[in-house]
Amino acid sequence: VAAGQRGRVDSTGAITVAAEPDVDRWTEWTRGGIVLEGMTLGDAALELGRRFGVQVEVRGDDFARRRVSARFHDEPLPRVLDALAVALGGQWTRDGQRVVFARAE
Amino acid sequence: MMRRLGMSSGAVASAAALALVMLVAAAPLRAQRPERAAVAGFVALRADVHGPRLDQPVTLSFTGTLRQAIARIAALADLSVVYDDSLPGLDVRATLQIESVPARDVLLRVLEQSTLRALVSPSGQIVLVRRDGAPKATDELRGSVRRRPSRGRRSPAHESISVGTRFATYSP
Repeated sequence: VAAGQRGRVDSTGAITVAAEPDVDRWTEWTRGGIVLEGMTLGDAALELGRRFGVQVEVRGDDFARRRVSARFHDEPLPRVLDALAVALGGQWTRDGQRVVFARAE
Repeated sequence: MMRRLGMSSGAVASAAALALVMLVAAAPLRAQRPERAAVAGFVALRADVHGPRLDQPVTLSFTGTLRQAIARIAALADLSVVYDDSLPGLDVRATLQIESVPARDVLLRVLEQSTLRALVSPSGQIVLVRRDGAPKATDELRGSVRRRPSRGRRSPAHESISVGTRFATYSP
């Protein structure tokens, strides 16, 4: 694998190497960052929950199916949620380890 | 004309002075009008907005989609960027040849001709939103071309539409 390429090993052990225009997408986690690429808000909530050790619930099936792309560098959870809320027209509340993200009223 | 309206030169001068005062007074009011998208402290990204990451010089030679360009800029400047993936114009082609330009200016440049604009939070996070007046995402393009019949020789017509990409047609 050379610079600007991505190597992949699948479950059968087969290796493929392809040009990757956005290598940072795959390596950002090593610097503490989060990359959400065309992910549904529901999946993004699961990822954020894992990263921040909280449970993030998205209210509304339609809202949970909205797709979002994001890159966060060293951002605390409230800032991440604020940015998502602005991007998607949402609002969030937090009670302990539980975060509820819903469409803005 | 002034005489017919019954205004003396002094009155004209007073009116002009009043108009000038109104203009001067209106300018700061316009500047103070809140941003439509000023949510949670986010305001429109402008050339005079500063921050360590926004000021980070970026060197980039890039051809690809706007979406990829944003990702590259964000990665190079360690910027946090968020956008609704269904925004129109994200897959428009973009070409950048940038050498040591602040990330803020690169973002403004790449978004300049697009249907999107950037908001920035006090901490420097970027959120992309639809530019006011930009067309909504649709697979359908409607329009009509009306031309007044000319008496003489018909001249060729050239019509072009620019909606993210460019469409042009010619008639003989």
